[in-house]
Amino acid sequence: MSTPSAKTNLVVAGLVVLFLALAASFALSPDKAPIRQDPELNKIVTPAPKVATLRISAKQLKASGGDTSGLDCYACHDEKKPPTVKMGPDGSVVFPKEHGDLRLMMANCEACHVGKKLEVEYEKDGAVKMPKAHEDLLTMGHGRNNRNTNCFNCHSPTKLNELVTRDGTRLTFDQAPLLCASCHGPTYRDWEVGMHGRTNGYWDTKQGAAVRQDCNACHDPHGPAIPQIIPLPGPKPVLTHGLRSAATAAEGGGPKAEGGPPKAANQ
Amino acid sequence: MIANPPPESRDSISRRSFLRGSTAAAAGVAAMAAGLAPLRKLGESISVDQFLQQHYKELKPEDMDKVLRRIEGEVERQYGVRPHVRDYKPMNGVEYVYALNLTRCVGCRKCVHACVAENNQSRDPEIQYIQVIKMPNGTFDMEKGDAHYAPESVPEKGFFYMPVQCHQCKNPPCTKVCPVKATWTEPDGITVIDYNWCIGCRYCEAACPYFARRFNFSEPTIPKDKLNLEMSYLGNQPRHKGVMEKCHFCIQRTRVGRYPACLEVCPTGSRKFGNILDPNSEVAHILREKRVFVLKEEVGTLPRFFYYFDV
Amino acid sequence: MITAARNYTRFLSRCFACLFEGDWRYFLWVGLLTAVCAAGLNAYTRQYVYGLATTGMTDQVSWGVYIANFTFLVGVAAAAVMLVIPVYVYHNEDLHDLVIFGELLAVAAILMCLAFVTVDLGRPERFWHLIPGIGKFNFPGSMLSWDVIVLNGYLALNVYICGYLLYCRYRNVKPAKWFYIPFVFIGIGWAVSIHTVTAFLYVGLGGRPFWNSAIVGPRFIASAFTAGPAIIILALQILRRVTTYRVRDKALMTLRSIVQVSMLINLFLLANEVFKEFYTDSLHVASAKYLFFGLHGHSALVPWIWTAIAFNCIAMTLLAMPLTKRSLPWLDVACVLAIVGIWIEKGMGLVIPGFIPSPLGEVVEYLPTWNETLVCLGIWAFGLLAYTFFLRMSVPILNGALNKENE
Repeated sequence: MSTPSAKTNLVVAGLVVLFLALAASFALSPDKAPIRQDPELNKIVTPAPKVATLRISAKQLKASGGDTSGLDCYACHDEKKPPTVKMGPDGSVVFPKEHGDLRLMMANCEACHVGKKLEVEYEKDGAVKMPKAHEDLLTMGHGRNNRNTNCFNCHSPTKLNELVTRDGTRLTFDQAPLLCASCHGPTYRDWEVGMHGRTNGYWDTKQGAAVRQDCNACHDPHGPAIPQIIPLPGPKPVLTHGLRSAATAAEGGGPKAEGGPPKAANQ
Repeated sequence: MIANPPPESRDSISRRSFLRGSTAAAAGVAAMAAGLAPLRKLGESISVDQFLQQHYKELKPEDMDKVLRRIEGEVERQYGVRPHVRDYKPMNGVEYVYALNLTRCVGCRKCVHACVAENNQSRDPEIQYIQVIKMPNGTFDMEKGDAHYAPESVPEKGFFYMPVQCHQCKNPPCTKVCPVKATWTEPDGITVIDYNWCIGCRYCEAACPYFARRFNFSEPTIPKDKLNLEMSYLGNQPRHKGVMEKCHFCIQRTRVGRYPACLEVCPTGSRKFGNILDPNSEVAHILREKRVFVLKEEVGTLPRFFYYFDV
Repeated sequence: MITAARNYTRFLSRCFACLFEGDWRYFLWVGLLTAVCAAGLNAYTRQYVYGLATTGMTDQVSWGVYIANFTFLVGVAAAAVMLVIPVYVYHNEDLHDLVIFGELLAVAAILMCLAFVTVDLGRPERFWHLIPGIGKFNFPGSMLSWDVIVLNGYLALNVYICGYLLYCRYRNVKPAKWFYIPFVFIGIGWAVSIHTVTAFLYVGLGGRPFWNSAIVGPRFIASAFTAGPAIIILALQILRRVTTYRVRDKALMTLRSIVQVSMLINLFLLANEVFKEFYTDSLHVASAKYLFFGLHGHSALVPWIWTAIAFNCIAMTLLAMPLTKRSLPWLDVACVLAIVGIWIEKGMGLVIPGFIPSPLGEVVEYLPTWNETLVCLGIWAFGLLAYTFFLRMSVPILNGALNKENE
């Protein structure tokens, strides 16, 4: 019975060699994590968005001790000479470009530009340099088909530091929500009970304060529509064996499709 | 052939073949042992306390205290800063409800990233509890939705945006299926996970009809400077690989009366949260006065997350 | 008492000694399996260290080949009962000894199932959380808890029955009826239950319409009773070739009839499923569309499912023909086709499409990584090794070569 036994010995010897080779390969193999990660995708760590409203209302500006010099109308206007509405050639109301910087100053950059440090730039004459993307702040856009663009629908021409409703009721700038309510009744009703507009702070007012906002904290009365916002990055596409998931493949694949357009990507 | 060995030389042959067999076996065992080589990369191994820790519901206050201190120590060792880890108990007479105004959501995803920052999610890979689905007007067919949209600005014309996160269902399919009761519904309505009890079988992830749950496929990475140090045991304590996690309505905030992080950053005020048992809360108003609906109502999950349109 | 213990220890050590003896084919087979095991162990260790990111699983497709193999193997384990029924219910004595081989296959399959579930866990060291009393066992709420009970119970049942019968044969003692017949009959019901409980893991999920159907349970049983006996047919022929054990052709033919009928039922149930999905044409058919035809441009599984159906149909045709009765090689072909077809259908054709599209409508496809595949191969090798060892011990006992007489 020597031949089968010799065969077995050979097989066993071969196996021992195989096992030792395996053991060596295990012990010597690199400790690199065999994880499917795409270094491109994981470069971006989005900064946390700040709890900021889209704008600062006049009330907030005063309360926070900010520069309210722009709200002093008679610093430039003559009390005896009420301003007039300028009309453009096509019959639309022209927003006074001198007031453009005020609108920009009331905007909260970090509400939309997450993580970016933005500085307002100024022209040589001290006027604010309006960024091209925000040139809409130089127009009037209140209401569909610009139905509510006449300045004196809301402003009092004789008392520029007051607002006035359609029926002649005079309101201070701090009472602006009542002016909005005079047309936007249902929204005001919702706002009163907290269904419209964001509330910050505490839902349980026994433990802390609920911070509500005035209309102007989010809506620019001269163009109340919420502006377009640059979206933050979505879920990272899934990698399967180096293949991207369907969604980004459809959009052209790659990190640029996922993290938003390059100029808006948060670095 | 495995035949009977001849009796007279049985012993000698068995001994020889036994030696031969044992050599092969020994070499095989050596290969197996060498196969365990990657374990040397394990880093901080599991401590005895960690391994033997009881389920959340079994921990007496003094045990919980020890656990919280232990977790603080672990985080300090890993990140270099000592956090505050607390165990917040539910408030009496409170049931949380979330309402989401689909007219107002513009799809900016600030909620997604506020949540990531608040709840110490892994950044690499980034785990996001909230997924915002861009839906074309005129349908609620999710297959037509897209969670990976990346236009220059939002909202895009002809679409609406629907954020989805854990709905903290009243009849949750996920808590039903967990084999070790690592996830359950608390008295205030939040479905919580005991991360230190979860065995990582992912049955709950299969059961959830809303794709709300996330699994840690690898050890989470959080940049040290982005760690939120105010932590809770059932909420935003840093998780480890191999366990499930999901939205917990910012339990470390809501149980002390604050709004969740996602709500606080929403620029359009689309998110509403509160105690449904309080008839004066915003959410109580919404459920009374607006036309609310829930996703996949026919599955019978009874979500505590309602969607509605304003205009 | 002590003598009994000493005798039993002697018996066990003799059995263990058997494992080290054999001819070159035995060593080659066992050696190669051990090598694959070692590679699988190494791959699993990597997975344990780095997490399940070493696999191809994602949040969208959170169960993959591990659970697919688990599902298939539970069926194989359940099918051992297909040998038990003819012998104990219908008193078909030709198959008598084969019951042990079937139950040993069940033990090996259950061990593989437990291994597959363990490697799928994110925190396997927390397995003790499942132990009732010490951990928190969600019974009867969670179907997984039912599965833990039935699988371990089935393992215990089969180990006990095989162990008892083999030890009795070793001692040349007639097994006492009350010590094993009741357990055998319990085992018959239990076998059906293990696979039904595994089916119920999937069926009970309302959020996954592809699985949430009453037909899943019956399909599981039908496919299990096709693939299981097919594996046994192949295993018995190998046994014939490498041992002195006599396996009668009659046994193989009985098993063939079982495979034949089960495959017919399996294909009938498949036809039911296909009709319901595609005639209804609701939104719930998305997963079936993905599987059979592709969805939104993704069609990774389409060639697989059609191959599986083709294999199953060819196998059924072959089994229907007298050809497979006359010719064992053709029977083997039919068995291999059936096993592979059902593995694909049950594993990839059931588990993966349930996740595609995701509950929020996203299509993310799944492809196992090399690490994951190595772990699977390692566990399969472990199972085959276990079965080889079981046979290596039990055949001499049944033959009379390993007996108390020649201690």
